[in-house]
Amino acid sequence: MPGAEAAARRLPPLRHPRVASLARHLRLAVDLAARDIRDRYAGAAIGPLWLLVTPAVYLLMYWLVFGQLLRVGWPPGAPGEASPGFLLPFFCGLVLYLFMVDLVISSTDVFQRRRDYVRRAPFPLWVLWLANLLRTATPAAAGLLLLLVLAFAQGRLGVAGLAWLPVALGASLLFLAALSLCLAMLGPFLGDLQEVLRLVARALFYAGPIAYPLAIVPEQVRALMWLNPLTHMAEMLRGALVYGQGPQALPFLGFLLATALLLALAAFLYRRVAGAVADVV
Amino acid sequence: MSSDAAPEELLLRARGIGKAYTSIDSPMSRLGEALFRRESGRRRKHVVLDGIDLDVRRGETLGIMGRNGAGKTTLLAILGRVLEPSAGTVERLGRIATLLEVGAGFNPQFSGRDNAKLFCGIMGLTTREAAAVLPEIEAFADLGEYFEMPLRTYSSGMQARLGFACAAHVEADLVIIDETLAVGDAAFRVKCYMRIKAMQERGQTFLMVSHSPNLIANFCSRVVVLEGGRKVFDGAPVGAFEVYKDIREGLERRAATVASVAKPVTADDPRLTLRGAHLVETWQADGPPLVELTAELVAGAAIARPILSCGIRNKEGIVVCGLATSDLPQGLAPMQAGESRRLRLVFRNRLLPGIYFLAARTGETVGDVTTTFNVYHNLARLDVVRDTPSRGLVDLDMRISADAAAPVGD
Repeated sequence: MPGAEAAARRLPPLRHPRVASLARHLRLAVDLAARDIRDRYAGAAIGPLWLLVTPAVYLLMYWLVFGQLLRVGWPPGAPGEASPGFLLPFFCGLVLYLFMVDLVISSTDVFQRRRDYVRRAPFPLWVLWLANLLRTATPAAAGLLLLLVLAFAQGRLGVAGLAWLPVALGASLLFLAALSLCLAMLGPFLGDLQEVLRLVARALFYAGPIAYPLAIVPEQVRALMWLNPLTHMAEMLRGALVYGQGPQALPFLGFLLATALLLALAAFLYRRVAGAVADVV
Repeated sequence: MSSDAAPEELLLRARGIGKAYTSIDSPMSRLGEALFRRESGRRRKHVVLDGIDLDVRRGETLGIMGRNGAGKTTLLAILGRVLEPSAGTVERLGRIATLLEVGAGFNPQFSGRDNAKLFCGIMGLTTREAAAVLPEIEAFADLGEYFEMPLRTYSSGMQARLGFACAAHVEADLVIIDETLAVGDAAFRVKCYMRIKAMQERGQTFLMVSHSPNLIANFCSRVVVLEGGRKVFDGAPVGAFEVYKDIREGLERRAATVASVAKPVTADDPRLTLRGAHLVETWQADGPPLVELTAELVAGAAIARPILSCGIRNKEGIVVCGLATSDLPQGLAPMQAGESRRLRLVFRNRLLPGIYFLAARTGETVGDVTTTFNVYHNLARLDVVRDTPSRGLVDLDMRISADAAAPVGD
């Protein structure tokens, strides 16, 4: 019987059902993210090259204003060393900032944008959140690639830096993932969230050492700046790529603690709120 | 049928499913409720579903009928793990594919092929499985070169074809589908129905929503009727049609649950009732036996133009024969309050073996409007047993011969 054969051929593989369904959902998230990116650049002449062009243009603009006109520059890691200048340290902060803004803003309405999936498709909500995270991480990855090339070209890429890089990236990614899940769960219910976050993101850009070094900030204000997550993430990445150093112990512990709390909050929100999302989108 | 292989294997067990939305609810207060797991009793609640119990067993096709807004789609969404119920539990004991809307999640920029792939991904097929099914989907959708073109260039009929082709090739233990999946031109609809039939014969279990008694009669082995978010019927299609028809005609059924067709129907409206139905079959020397139904027709109020209709249905709900006094030239004479008449219905029993039901309906015509008072789904049951090789509903005295050398036309 051809029918029976077809049925046998399509039997799911023999795996633990939970593992199998987790694998299926992860694959679906990757698939959705890949399609989103392809969809976004489908009509563009230079296609995914925009992933590199956009950060490069940003970089050029800020470099002209801050680096050339205002003469902002980062101090050397140790007395006697060469100054890293503006471009590379700034770019570390910029890549993280662009990633965070894109992720945070898009997370708040990820379920509204995918309303038909939320209301019609039988897979858990976190798949959509993860797909969005992967989608926004793609330009960030392109920016990181550019960053590595730049650091290498300036001769600042050392073994120590490469060793600290996963720590800096891992901690940042974990924090942003937890933050975006919290926002994704709250976004459908709080209509003002996205607008507020746009303002907050802009404020965090100037209230953090993105376009200027932390060292030029007065001592008493500097402590406040560590409340800005961008400060932590930018300094960690800079430490690795510009100075070949690990993160400062105290701020790093604080950041990890905040990440843990945020993760717990995200898990709590997901468990409580996920079922209600389909009611309001 | 292949359902006989494992008749008791349960695929889905739902208990006490309820879904309520608090009306004029701000999203913010919905968040508060979800976060603190409390329900504010102050607000008015809009109940979509209330206390639904449902079992789906392997091999059966369960139909869900109900008017618009009766809660059909919400129930499907809850069973298919798309919506969360506000009360009750759903146990899913197999792989379930849920298809609530044609082209849900289709992307207009992608080609038909890409959308089919995406659909397979959403439905949980691996890339290899999807690659194996894709040619079948392509063949079934029969879109020609359009299969490689962006979805936005499709007509709505073509989108529907792609949608159903995808839906019909997902293998799952239980497929939950909305009737609206099968849209498009008549030829394609027939193709869809044949595909469903073929899948049923392989033992595929379905849960489908439909407005159409024809579809239900053709496909479903069991039917649930929803009205106002409650289950008002769960049983064989024949009973479901009557209940559904009553609902559609606005006849209030005060009995909340009709357990099965065999249950005696209690009269609701005293204005014109039937009592003491009695069936006698007498064998005739000259032909098929004569069946005589006698009952008492009692008027509880004065009725100028009473109407009585009787009919014989088979188990699937197909009317074999029916007769209404309103279609007769003389009709029924006016009745006084308290008047009682003897009803007599006679027919030649040419029915083929099977179970049949005698149903009746009483009503009144005012102007050109007919109001139904009472419906008796199962006034009497007729078990026909007889020695004949013919199959079907009615014995037409059919014969077959194929003689060896008989010239054609002789």
